[in-house]
Amino acid sequence: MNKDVDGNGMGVTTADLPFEVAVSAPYTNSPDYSSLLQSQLSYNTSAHETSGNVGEIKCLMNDATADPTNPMRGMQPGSYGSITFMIKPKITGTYTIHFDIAAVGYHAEFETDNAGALQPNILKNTTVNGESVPVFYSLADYAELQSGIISELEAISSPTPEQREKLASAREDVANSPKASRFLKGHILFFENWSSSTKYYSDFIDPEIGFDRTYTFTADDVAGTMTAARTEELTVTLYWIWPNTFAQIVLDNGNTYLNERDAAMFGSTQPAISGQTPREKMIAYIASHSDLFFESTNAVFSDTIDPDSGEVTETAASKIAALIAGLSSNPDDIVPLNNGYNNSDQIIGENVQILFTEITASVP
Amino acid sequence: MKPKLITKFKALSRRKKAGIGVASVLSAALVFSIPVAAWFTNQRKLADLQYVNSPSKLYIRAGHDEESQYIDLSNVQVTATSDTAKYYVFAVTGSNATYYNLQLAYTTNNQFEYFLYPAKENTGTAPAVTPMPFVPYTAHSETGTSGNYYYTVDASVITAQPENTPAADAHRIIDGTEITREGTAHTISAGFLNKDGDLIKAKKTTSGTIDYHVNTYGNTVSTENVQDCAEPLYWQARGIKSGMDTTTRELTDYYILEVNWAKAKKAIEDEGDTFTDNRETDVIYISVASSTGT
Repeated sequence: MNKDVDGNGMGVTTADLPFEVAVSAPYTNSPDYSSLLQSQLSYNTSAHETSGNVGEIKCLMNDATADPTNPMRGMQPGSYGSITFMIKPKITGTYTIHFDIAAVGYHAEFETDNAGALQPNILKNTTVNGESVPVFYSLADYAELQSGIISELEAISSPTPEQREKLASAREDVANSPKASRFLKGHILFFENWSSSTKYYSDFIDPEIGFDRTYTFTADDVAGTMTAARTEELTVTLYWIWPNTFAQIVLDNGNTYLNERDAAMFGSTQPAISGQTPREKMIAYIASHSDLFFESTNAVFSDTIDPDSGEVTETAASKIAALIAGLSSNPDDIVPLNNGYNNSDQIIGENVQILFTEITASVP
Repeated sequence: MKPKLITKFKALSRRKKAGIGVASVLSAALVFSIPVAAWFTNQRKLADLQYVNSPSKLYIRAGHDEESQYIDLSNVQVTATSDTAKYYVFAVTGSNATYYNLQLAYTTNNQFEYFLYPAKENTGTAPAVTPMPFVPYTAHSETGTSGNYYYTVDASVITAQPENTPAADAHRIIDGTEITREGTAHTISAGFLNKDGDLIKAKKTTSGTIDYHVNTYGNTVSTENVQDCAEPLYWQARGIKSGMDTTTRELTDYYILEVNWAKAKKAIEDEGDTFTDNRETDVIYISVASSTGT
C-alpha cells in the first residue's frame, strides 16, 4: 500500500512556470501583518520573489489615504491605493497570464494590554488547553462559531441578562457575517487603470472573471538584462478603492452630492472601451450584482413580485439601472442609493476587522 | 498490535468489512492526490493584510454627556445685561472617530453671530470671577448624575488666535486654528460656505458650483419667494482632531456655543432704533460627521 503512494514512482513532472512574480522590498507596513500571514495563512513573508518553493508571497496594498499619526491605521470607506508587482520571465515565449483578485474579510479578536487598553495592531493570541486557537476567523467560520454559541445559549432555560445580550449579539453576527463577506466584493473595487491627472478609474476588474495580460518574453527578459522601459512594461500596477459614497460611482464632479474628498471615480469624457465607458461598465455590473452593493429595505433593491401570480414583474436590476439612468433629471434619487451603500459599509465595518487581498497569477 | 487487528476484522460482519474496504480505498485516493496537486501549481500568489477600521459613531449631546434633550438654548435676553453674548454647552461624543467636522446651519432673523470654543468640564465651586466664556450646568437627577458642573475654554487644546484682541475671542474656532489632542496638533480649516465678509445675512448666491439657495429650498422655490433671513448660513470646521481615548476608543469633547449680538445691536442702534428683547425666531442646527482630518 505504501509503495503505491510514493510520489517518485508516478511519472508526473511538474510543469515549469514561465515566470515568477516579485515585489520590491522593503515593506513599510507593520511587522505584525507578517506574523499573521506567516503563522495563519502559511505565506512566506521574507521572500520578495516567488519560486518553486515559494508559491505565495506578500505584497503591499499601498493605502494612499493611510494616516501614520492615526494609531488605528487601517482601511475605511474612502480609502484607496495601488498594488504593484513585477513579472520576472523565466522561459521565452508568448504567454497569456491570467490574474484573479479577491478581497476576503476576516473577523479578528483584538488584544487588550494589562491596563485594559485596546492594542490596535496586536491581535489576541489565545491558547486553549495548551493549544493555540485562531485569533482571526474567516467570516464563514465565525458565523459557524456563533451558531454554536446560539444553540448553547438557547438551551438555557432561564438565561441571565448577560446571556440574553450575548445571544442577541451572536444572532446578529450570524445574520451579518455572510452579508459582510458579500458586500466586500462590491465595496473594494479593483481597476487596471487610473489616471493621475483626471483621477478617473477605468478597466474595472470583475472579481468573478479576473483579467488577462499577454506578454512575449525575450531572451533578454529571461537573462534579466532588461531596459528600464522593459521593466516598466513587466510591472503590473492595480488600483483599488473603497468608495466613500455611492455618488462617487455614478455622478460627475461638480454635482452637489460630491466634494473634493469624495470625488467622482469616473468622468463622462472618458472614452468608451469595447462600446462601454468605464462608468457604463461599472453601472452594468452594479445593476446585475446589486446584492454586493446595497443593504436596504427600500423596494428598489428587491424584485417586484405580483402578489397574485407570484411572478417577477420588475427585477431589482432593472429598477436600479432605471434609477441610476434617471439621476440627471431626478438628482435626489441618489439618496436611497447612497443610503443602501452606506448601510452595507456599516455591516462591513462592524464584522470585518482584517481584509486579506490575494492576487493569483497563472498560465492556463 | 497487528494480529489483534486481524482478529477484530475477522469478527466483523460482512457489511462492516465492506465498509472498511471502501474507507481504505478512499484514504488511498486522498494520499494519491497530494503529488498530483503539484501538476496544477502553475500559479503564483501575492497577498496582503489590511486592518479595517471600526465604523465611527458620533452624537451631539448636552453638558456632562447627558441626552441631547437637555441642550438648552433658551433665555437669550439681549437687554438684561450689558454683555453682548450668551454661552451654551454641548458635547460631541461617540467612538472610533479620530477626526470630525462640526457644522452649524442657522437662519439670520436676529442677525446673531455664533461661535464655537473647545471646552473642558470643571467640577467644584465656580471661581468668584468667571472667565468668559463660562457656562454653568446642572446635571439632571433622572440620569443618575446630578451635580453642578461648569465649562470653560480648554486652552490646552486650542491655540490662541493672536489676531483676535478681546480675550473672549482668543480661542474661537476659526480658519487655521490648531487643535491639540492626544499629543498631536492638527490645523483645521473653518469658515462659512455662503457668507461674505461682515454680512451676517446669508447670500442667495452661488459659490463655485454649489448653489446654496437650491440646496436649501430646491429648484422649485425661486429666490424671490424666500426672505433673505430665511436663507440659512452654513458654517463648517473641518478636520477637528477628536479627544478619542486610545484605550477605550471613546470620546467626549465639550464645546461652548456663543450667541453674540454685538453686531446686531450696533446695526440697529446705528439706524437710531432701540435694540429690544422682542426678537424673531431663529433655527440653528449643530451637526457632526466623521472625517479623515483633511
